[in-house]
Amino acid sequence: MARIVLLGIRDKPAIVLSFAGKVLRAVALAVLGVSLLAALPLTALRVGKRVYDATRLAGEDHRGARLRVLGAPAVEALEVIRRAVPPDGEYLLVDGGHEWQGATYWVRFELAPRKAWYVGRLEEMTAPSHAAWSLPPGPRWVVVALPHAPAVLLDRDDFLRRMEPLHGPG
Amino acid sequence: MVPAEALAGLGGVALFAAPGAGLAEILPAVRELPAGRRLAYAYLLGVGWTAGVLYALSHWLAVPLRAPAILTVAALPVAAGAFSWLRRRVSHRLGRRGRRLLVQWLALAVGGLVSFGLLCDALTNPLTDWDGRMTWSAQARYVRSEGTVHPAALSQRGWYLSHPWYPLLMPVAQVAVLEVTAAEPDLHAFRAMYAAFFPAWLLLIYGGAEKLAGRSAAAWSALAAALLSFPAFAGAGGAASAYSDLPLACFFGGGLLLLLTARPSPSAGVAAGLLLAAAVLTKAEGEIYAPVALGLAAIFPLLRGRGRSRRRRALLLAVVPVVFAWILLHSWRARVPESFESFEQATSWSLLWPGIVTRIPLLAAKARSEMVYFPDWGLFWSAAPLVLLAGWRGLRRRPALPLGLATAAPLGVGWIYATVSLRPEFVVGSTWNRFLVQASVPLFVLFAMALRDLLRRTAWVPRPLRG
Repeated sequence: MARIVLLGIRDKPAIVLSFAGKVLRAVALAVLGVSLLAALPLTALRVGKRVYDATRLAGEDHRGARLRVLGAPAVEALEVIRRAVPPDGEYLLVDGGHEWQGATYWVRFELAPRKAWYVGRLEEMTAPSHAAWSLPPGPRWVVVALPHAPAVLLDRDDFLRRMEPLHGPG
Repeated sequence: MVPAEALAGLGGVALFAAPGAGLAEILPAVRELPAGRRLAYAYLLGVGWTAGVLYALSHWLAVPLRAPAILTVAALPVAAGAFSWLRRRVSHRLGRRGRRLLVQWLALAVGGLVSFGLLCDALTNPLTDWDGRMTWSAQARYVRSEGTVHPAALSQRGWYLSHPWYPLLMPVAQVAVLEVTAAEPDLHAFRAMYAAFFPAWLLLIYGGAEKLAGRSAAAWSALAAALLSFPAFAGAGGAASAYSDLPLACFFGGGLLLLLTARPSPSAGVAAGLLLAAAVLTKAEGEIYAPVALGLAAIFPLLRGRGRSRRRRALLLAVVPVVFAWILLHSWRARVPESFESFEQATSWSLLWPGIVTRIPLLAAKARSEMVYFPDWGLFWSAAPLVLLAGWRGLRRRPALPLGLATAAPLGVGWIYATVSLRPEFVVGSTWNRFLVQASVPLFVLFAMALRDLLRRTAWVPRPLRG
């Protein structure tokens, strides 16, 4: 009898571990199951939207897609710049927003392979405490990339003229 | 989309699948794989071969990146594959296949639907992501315009470019698609090529997992991967974007899995070498991951007794393309005047110590918040650690160690990058998810190994779900 009790005590850690293992396995599988089930609606929604859009937009060519995504004013502004600056040409690029808004990246991408020379941020150039700045020599055109509006194309002299009352160039 | 434009997108995928099929035919290690996995490897080999050879030809021989050169490079493996197929005069054996499990059908259906959704998106919408427009596709436009991997915007100092030192394999692949399909500059025909990496990724995960964990665990793992939003739909690194992270994950994971097979043949070595070489040319991190994969394949025989000489031969054959790619990358980069400047401006190695310790709470909290963001990852990162823990017995098998180290490599690189960064929170927020994608193939195979143990030891799970 004493021996049986002793064996029971000895086996207790093993029994506890085995039970804990079972619980852990059950919890792991349950959480995995929940995670798969929880992902289903979102995935279905995302797939469904894309398939629906593809069906809805069948017949739209890439120009139409570009108009839809970028908006007509932005596309028009980009076309004006593309006509002014030839594909192997170059231009000066001014950021009319903040770096994290990415406006210069999007404009550069849309205008590539035209080469861009980055000038700086409009906000810094027009700040009352701005440091002296000047436009780099070379390109005739200045493109101002704006985060929430179409890009603006200015002649170099025109850009300098407009900057004058706004404290620049120094 | 209009039919002609959709065809251009699909033609772009075929441009790589066809030479890849040729390579798969002449490499027995790939030829003998089941159809789905063979197709995945074929696609990856096709992208690696076509874009990699064009990259080398443009850099060293100034071959213009125009349709004649692109079609010639793509046609070579097609011809070699056709010749090999005719010489063998045997059709592929349809291997004896048992009845598919329910979960296999489920994984196939979900993976197929998500891939179809991605393809619809790629054919319908222009590129709207961040890095794709900031870096990869912008570079592709400069490369295409001048027909060389040394366009003036990259080779002259001062032009406004993001990360001009990033390798150009994927931009060259974009150029190949656009040139061969004579696409207009604004046509997004290259997007389908990126979308096709998603099914290839799923098939790699399923294939690697099936070998080491069986059909059921492999299918569950592939299903879990297919249901993750980030690798599929994220505009910042998923297959829906033009980021290079998913291609890098496929090249790294695919090459690694080929080298970690029990007795890799010389052709497995060649295929793995081509994929790892593509990894080197795809993204800066690939330069680290390729040697890691080769190193892990080299130490693997220490864990396994059999087939050491065979493995050594395969490994030597894998090293050759990787070294070639490394020389190409550095020789190309030598002509980029602003090498590493964007990296140097954003980092300081002096932060590594004691930052590697003191920044742990900050980085861990930020990384965790990315991983529990439901729209990107669902609940997967809550379930995965539990599965790995509860199925730990499944990780006692030999391949688990190299797979674990291979998973740790991208995560370690990401962690160190965030540690030495001047803006650690921003870096974790913008890169950690992508490092998870880069580590995903070996990670999911590990996940499957643990899941197999878990399913075996859980009697209450219905048999059709357990396999």
